[in-house]
Amino acid sequence: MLPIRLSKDSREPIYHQIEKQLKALIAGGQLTAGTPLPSIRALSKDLEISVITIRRAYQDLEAQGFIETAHGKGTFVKEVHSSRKEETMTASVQVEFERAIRNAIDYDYTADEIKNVFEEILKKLTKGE
Amino acid sequence: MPAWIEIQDVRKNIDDFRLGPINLNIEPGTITALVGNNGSGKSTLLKLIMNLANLDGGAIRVLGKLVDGNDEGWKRHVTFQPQKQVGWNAYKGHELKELIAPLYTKWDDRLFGRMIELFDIPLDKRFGKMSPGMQQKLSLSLALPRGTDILILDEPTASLDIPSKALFMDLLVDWMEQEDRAVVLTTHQPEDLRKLADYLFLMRDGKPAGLYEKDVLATTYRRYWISGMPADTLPGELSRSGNELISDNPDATEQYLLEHGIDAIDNKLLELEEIISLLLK
Amino acid sequence: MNEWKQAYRLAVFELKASRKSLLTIMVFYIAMSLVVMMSFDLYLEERFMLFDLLFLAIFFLFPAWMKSKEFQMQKMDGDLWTVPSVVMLQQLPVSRDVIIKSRFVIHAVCSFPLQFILLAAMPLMSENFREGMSPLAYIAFVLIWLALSIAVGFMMAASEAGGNYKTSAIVKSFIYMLAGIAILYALLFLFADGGFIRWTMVLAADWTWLSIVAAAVIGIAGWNYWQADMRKLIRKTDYL
Repeated sequence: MLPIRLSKDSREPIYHQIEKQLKALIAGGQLTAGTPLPSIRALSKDLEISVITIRRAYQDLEAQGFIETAHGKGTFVKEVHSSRKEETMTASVQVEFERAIRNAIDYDYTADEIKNVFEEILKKLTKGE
Repeated sequence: MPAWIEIQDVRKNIDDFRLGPINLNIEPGTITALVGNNGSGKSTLLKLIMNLANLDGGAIRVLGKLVDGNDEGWKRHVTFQPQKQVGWNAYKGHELKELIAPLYTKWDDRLFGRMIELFDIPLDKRFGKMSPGMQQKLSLSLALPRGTDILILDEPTASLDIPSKALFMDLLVDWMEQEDRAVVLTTHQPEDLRKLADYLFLMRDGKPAGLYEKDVLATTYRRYWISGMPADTLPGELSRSGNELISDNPDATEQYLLEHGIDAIDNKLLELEEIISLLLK
Repeated sequence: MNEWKQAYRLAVFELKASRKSLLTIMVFYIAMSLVVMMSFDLYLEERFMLFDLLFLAIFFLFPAWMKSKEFQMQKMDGDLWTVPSVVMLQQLPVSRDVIIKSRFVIHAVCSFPLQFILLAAMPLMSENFREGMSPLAYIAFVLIWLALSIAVGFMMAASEAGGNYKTSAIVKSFIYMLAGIAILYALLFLFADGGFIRWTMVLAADWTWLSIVAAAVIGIAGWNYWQADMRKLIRKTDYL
């Protein structure tokens, strides 16, 4: 089963969430080239999303070269160029930061306050290493 | 590609009950759930697809063939599991299998054996002597292995225990993988809808109440908690009570809130059950 | 021909599932019939006219009563009356013609053995019968009753298609049917001396060849007619 977690309350379209998380898994190396992906129907059941939406996400990922479908065999992770991976990772990280910062701005944080929070969390998370 | 099941303008009167006019197409590769209150006509519609009763109007085609035509060959491609099996009581499990299996060219004996084992069904017991849950398990074990293009299930999970229900869902998902196949089912179980359905066809008192793509339906309705609820009716507003407001057009609602500087404390999508109750009211 | 083979296969399933009760009832009915047959000689001497009715009842009704409860006509959901197998088979890829033929096979199994035993018992158990019938006349007599078994008895098989009836309508039509039969029988009794069996004996003995031809025609016509009738009934009925 794929570690995909959908936020159904989010205004972001479900197929977009699936695409983004699958891309992150591929770019992050958790899903390596050649790994079989669950069938559309199986993923539909696990995520409680219709096959229509899952198919759309798979089609988009295929068009973008992240996965490929071998007829009769299933869907597999494609070899993704490392620069492409980087790109995807950077984009994904950027999106997350942007969201967090937007949230802080909504609560009227100043730039310095935001930086403080950032430093604190960074310190906490890297201490264990 | 034409739909595998085409229901056009179908009408049926039974005493005071009026079913239809119903229009519905079932496409290959999809699972469509018929949802409605008790007595809304779901089972009747399924039986009409199987040509078990005469239409009072309209037409039903299965794989392009009129179901009430002279050619009855389409039945080889359809599996129908009624809510209550009629005429099975006197037969033992293995007798039913011997009766049914040879009628289907694609009968999958391995799948049958697997299901009998997984569900732990005593094949030498008479159907009439089995508990409702066991009867349902045997029915399903005699349905999926037929390997037909179309599978019609009337409340397939109504009497199943929780592990069996999960097992059935896995089996059905597996079954759907093999070829292009289509499933029509009726259910009152939200779990079935969430995990299996692609389309929901809602019925109320014999009338259709809409065909919805499940994910579209699930993301259309939103509940807002608003401090200082305006007296005017908001765009998209479906109902309100106190500081709660339900909208079937979140974009329009949020646009309005933004423009008028109204603060929404929180908002949340409605659960599928809640949406269905809303639509069937 | 293939249809009959499929029909036979389906019929065997049903008969096998109920073979114990079917055999028990059959043996019981045959024994009971033979007891009744003991008074056949008295009937032919016109000393026990009630035998005529008893025989008719046994000949036509016992076959219909032989099936075990699960396989008999019964009330289903709503206003539907039918034999459960007819519904069951319509949900499977079995053509209506095969369903009809399988009902006919089952009815034949339930009626013919008993009826043959009844007809065979006549010359065995009655001195008067043996004296009155030549071998050819006896064959004609058997054929007449076989034709009756088909033309009248297989109405039961055809009616197994069922229908959508109110219970009161069923009771009413049942009463009408009984009254109709009674009137018919009374009329026949007025014109034919010595009861119905006696009358068919006279037919077989005096118009032997005519009887054989008529019996063949009636038998075949009845066989086809009731199948067509059942087809119409199934088409008309809502199995909801």
